Amino acid sequence: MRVIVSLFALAISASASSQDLPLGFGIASPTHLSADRPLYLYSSADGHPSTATPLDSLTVSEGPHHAELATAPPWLDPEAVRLDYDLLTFRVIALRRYWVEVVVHTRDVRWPPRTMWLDREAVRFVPWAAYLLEIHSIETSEAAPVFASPADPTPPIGWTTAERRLHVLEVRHTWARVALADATEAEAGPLGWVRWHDGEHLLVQPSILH
Amino acid sequence: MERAEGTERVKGPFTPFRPSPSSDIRPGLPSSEPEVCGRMGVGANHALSYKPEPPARDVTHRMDMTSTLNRPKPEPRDRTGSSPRLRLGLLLLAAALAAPASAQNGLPGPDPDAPLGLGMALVRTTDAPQPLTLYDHPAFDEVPHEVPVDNATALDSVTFAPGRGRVSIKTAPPDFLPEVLDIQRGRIAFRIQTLATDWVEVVTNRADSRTAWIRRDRVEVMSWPTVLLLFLVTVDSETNPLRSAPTEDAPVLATTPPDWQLRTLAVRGDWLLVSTLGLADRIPPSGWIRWREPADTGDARLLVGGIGQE
Repeated sequence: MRVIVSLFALAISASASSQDLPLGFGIASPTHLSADRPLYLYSSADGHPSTATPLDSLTVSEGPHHAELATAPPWLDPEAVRLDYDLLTFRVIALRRYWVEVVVHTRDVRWPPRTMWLDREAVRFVPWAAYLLEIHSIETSEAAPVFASPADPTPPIGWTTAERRLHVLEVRHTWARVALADATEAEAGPLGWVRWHDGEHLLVQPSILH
Repeated sequence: MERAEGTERVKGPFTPFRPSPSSDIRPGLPSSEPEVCGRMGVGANHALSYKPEPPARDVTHRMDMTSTLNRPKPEPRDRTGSSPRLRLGLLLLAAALAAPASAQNGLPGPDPDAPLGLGMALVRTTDAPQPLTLYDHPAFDEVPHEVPVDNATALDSVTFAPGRGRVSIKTAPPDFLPEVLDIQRGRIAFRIQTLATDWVEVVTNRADSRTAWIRRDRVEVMSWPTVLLLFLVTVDSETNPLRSAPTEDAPVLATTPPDWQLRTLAVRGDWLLVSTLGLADRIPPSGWIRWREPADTGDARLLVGGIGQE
């Protein structure tokens, strides 16, 4: 079943991801999404995508300024979608040589979350560590401790606040070294290290847009 | 709040890469990186040996006596500056490195307690690459945090020499022992400890987990799922048997012989779906093994080995 997705697009923002989702391995985004190249969704990863039959698809149309979502399954709820910024991302749960399994209903409360398979060649897979360095900044949903070192279990040297966005400078294991994204001159420089995942869930919220 | 200094090094459980303070890093090549200071070869027991450069600047190289590497006595050199033994050593090195990492006789294997890291940084050596410079921790104190190479401190480097049909390592630090050294297939792979926008911290000695930084545009960064789908793996079947489902209480399908190489079909969470082709009769065509410890915390460890052969 397909629906026109004008409402669907309004319902999704770039910050729709849920921290309750399984951590997964990173983010997948379509590489060649266009009016004549839909993104096919597969229910299983049998054989090669070229010989598999998709369950559904996501299509776009050419708008006056940018591509717009045309049709999509009603249950489709990606990690983030802002086609005016050429942005459509899914959380990657599993990988095969020719396939990538992604969460297709980000805000679903069911466990495990609903997933589908994509042709790996139709998307760009970015592991979390690289993704956190690529995007504009991260946020913490509530105050999170900042440490001087990721290996030294000393008391925190400070706390993040939900209002301040953080640039990621480097990523080591479960830790990210951060600086304030909107730092004043007096605040310039790294803050310290924050935990970005706990092995099961993402502890920070990617903030994709400026 | 922390106000890190320019060359702050993050304290960690890893020994920082500290080659000789008297390293003879030659003035840089244009638009590339500085060349190397040390040389390594392979002795009769296939343990890496170290031979200093000719003392052009009256410089000697300090050996890390805690490492597993041996330092030979100085030898006479020919007009090219390399001794016959050195050249032989390099030939033996090339032969040793042609084997997969898991079968490099005499070379130390990966430290089983090494931190999991983020994946592998792959250097392709098929096209006689420029020297691979190893740097000290670049300063990330500025935002934007791109650190010009000129502002990073070069510690040492690896140089390459074109050969007949393949590139060989010409010189390298005495304790250079990455996760994968497969000259025959033209690749060197390091375990990634830290990732930054333009830099990557890699383990340069898999036996003692010492690290150095490399420019990110010199390597192909691969996350663990990508690595595990690319290379065959081995597993300790006593502690990590092949199961019918990705849970600890799933029935055991089979145990794998030592060094049995498994092909990964899928990576999901902490588990690998691997092919059981040729492993045993009358078992399903695939089964599950763990590739990392249950929680991917800072202390997580890799549970599969033998990475290096496709």
